[in-house]
Amino acid sequence: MSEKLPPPRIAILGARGIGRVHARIFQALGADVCAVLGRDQASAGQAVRDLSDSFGIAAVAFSDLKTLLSQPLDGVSICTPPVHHFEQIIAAFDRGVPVFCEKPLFWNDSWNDNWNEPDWARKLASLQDHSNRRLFVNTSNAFLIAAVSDQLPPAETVTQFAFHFHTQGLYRGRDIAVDLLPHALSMLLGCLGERPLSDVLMQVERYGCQCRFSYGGCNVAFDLRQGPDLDRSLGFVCDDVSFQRVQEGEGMNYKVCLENTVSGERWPSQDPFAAYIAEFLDHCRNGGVDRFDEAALNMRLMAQCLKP
Amino acid sequence: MNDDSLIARYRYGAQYVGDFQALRSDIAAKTFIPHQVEFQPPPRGRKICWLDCPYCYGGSAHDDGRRLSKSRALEVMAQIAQGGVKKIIFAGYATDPLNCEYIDDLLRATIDSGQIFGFNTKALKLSEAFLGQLSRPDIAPQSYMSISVDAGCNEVYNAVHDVRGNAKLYDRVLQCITRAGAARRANGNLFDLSATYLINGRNHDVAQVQRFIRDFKAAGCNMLRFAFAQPPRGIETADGVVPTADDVRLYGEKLRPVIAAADSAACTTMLVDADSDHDIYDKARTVPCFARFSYPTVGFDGWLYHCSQSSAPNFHGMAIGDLNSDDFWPLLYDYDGERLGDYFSACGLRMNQEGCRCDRKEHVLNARVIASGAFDDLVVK
Ligand SMILES: C[S@@+](CC[C@H](N)C(=O)[O-])C[C@H]1O[C@@H](n2cnc3c(N)ncnc32)[C@H](O)[C@@H]1O
Ligand code: SF4
Ligand code: SF4
Repeated sequence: MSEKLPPPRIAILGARGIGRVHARIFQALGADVCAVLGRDQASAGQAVRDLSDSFGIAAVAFSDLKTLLSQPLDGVSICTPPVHHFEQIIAAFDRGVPVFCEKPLFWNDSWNDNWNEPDWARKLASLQDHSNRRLFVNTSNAFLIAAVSDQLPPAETVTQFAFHFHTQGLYRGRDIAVDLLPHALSMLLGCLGERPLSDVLMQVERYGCQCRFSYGGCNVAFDLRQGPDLDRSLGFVCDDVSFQRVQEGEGMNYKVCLENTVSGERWPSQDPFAAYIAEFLDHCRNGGVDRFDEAALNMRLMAQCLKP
Repeated sequence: MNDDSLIARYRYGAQYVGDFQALRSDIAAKTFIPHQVEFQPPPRGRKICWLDCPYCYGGSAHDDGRRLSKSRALEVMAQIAQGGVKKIIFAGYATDPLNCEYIDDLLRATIDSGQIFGFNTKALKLSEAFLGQLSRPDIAPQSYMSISVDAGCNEVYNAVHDVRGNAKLYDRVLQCITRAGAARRANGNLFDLSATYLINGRNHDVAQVQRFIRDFKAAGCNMLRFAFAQPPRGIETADGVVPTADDVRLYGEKLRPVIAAADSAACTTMLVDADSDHDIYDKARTVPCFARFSYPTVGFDGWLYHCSQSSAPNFHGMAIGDLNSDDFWPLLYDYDGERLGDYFSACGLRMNQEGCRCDRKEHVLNARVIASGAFDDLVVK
C-alpha cells in the first residue's frame, strides 16, 4: 500500500485581500496553509484569525520574511503589492521554495512616471537565471480560453481582438493597467500566441485605461476599468465571435462558464484560479517545467504597453 | 505532614512561572532561567525502555541509536547547575531514568550542586549506589521520587504493562520502594516518596486499588496519586488501555470515595482528573508553547528539546539543538529576542507539523501563560 503523502505546506505572503482567496483555494485543494506573512505581527495576526474564523485554516503569523522562509515549506503564494514581488520571489528561490505569485510578476510604482528599462530588464533576467527558479504567475484567466478554443476562428485569420475587464478593484489611473493588463495579455496570448507588438496607444483615466496596439497584423483593444459602481464583467471578441464570463451559483459552489453573447450558448470552464493553483501544487509535489517563460512573455508585453 | 505545595505540584498545579510580565522581559532579554530541566538519561542496551507499557506517551518515539555519553552528560549537568537551574527532573519519554548505567553519577552531581532532584520511574531496579545517594543528609528540600505502579498485585501489574509470563514485577517494585522508603527514613524524610496509579480498564477494581494503597503506604510513601491515562501520540491503543471520557467518569465515581478514605496525615491520597478540570481531553497541544522557558528537556540522544513530550529523534525538526556539539545555555538562548512573535509562530508551525502532544502539566502551563495576557500582542489567540 502506498503511504498517503502529507499535504503540501504553503505560506501566504499578504493574506488580507486576494491572499485570503488564495488561502481558501489552496486549502480546498488539500494544501496545508500553515503560515501567513503580514506587514507586522498585528496585521499578520489579524489575517490568521480571519482565516481561522472564516475557513478553519490553522496558520501562524509572521512579520519577518526570512524567519518565515526558514520554516519547512513546500511553496509560497505571493499576494503582496507588486512592488514587493521581486525581492520576495528571489528570497523564496534562495531558500529553494517554489513560488505562486499574483500578477503582475513584479512592478515598481515609480516606473509609471520614470520608466527604468535597465532595472526592469535586470530583474527579469535575475529571475530567469536563478538556479532554483520555480515560478507560476497567476494569469489564470487564460484557462477560460481552453473552454471555447474550438469555437474560435483560426488564430492566423484573426484581425480584430478586443478584451474588456471591469472590476470593483481599488486601483486608479495607470495602476488599473498594471493590475489588469496581465489578464488581458494572457487572454490575447491564449487566443493568438506570441506575435510582435507595436503602435501602442494608451489612454488613461481615473477609473479606466484603454489600450490599443497592433499585434502582428491584428488590431487589439483592451478596455480595463475599476470603480465602485461597476458591474464585474469580463469578455472578449475575436473577429465576429464574442464571449463573456458568467458565473452560475454563489459562494463556494459557483461555476464559471463562457457564454456566447449572440447565441447565449454556454461552455463550462474549470474555475481558472483553482485549476492554476492545482497545477502549481502538482509542481510543488512532482517538479517539472515551471511557468516562467509564459510569465516573462506576459511581462515583456506589459512593459511594451506601459512604457512611455 | 505534607504541605500544600506538594499537593499542588501533584495536581499539575505547580507554579512553573510566577510573574508573567517578568517572564516576558526575561525571554526578550535572554535572562530567564528555567524553573527546572528535565533529564532523560539514556538507557542501557539497544531497546530504549525496559517495559513496553501500552499506554505509554512515548510509544511512537523513534530511536536513531545515538546516546548521550556519561562524560558529556556530566558536563551538561554542570553547565545547567552553573547557570542557576535549581531543579533537575530525571524522567523519560519512552525511557526510564533508572534504566541508565550512570544514573547514580547524575544523581550525585545533582545533590552535590545543591539542586532539587525528582524522579519519575517504574523503579524496577535500584542499585546500592543509588540508595546511598538517597540516604545523603544534604538532599535539597522538595526533592522527590515518584514511582508509577498502576497495580496492586503481580498479575494486574503484568496485565497493565503488557508483560507476558509470570514475572513478579509488582513484588520487585514494592521491594525497591521499601528500600527507598528506608533510605528516606534514615535521613529524616528529606525527599518525598510517592507512588502513582494510572487508572484504566485493566486495574479499576476497588480491591486492587486498596491493595496498592496498603502496600505502598507500608513501603513508606507519603503520597499516592491516582490519575487517568491520556491518549498517547500517534498510536492506536487496545480497548481498556486509555479510558474514554465515560470511563473516566465511572471509574472516578467508584474510586473517589475509596481514595479519599485512605487519605491520612502521613500519606496523602488523591485522585486527579486534570482533563476534566482543564478541558483538555484528547487535545493535542496548547500553543504558543512556553515549555522551553520553564522545563527544557535533555533527551536520551543528547539533544535539547522543548519539553518531555517532544524528546526523541523524530522531533529533531522542532528541537532546540544538539548538546553533543553545543553547550546548554547558548542553545537555550538561541532565538531572536527582538522578534518574539515570529519566534513563537515558527515554533508553533513546527510543533503543528511534527505533531507533538502536550501532557497535562504542559497544557496547563501554556494555557496559564496565554491567559495571563502578557504575550497578547505577540500571539494569535
Ligand atoms: C513516560 S513515563 C517515563 C518515566 C518512567 N519510564 C515511568 O514510566 O515512570 C513518565 C510518566 O508518564 C506516565 N505516562 C505514560 N504514558 C502516559 C499516558 N498515556 N497518560 C498519562 N500518563 C502517562 C507514566 O505512568 C509515568 O508516570
Ligand atoms: S511508561 Fe515508562 S516504563 Fe513504560 S514504556 Fe513508557 S517510558 Fe517505559
Ligand atoms: S508537546 Fe506541548 S509543551 Fe511540548 S513542545 Fe509540544 S506544545 Fe510545547
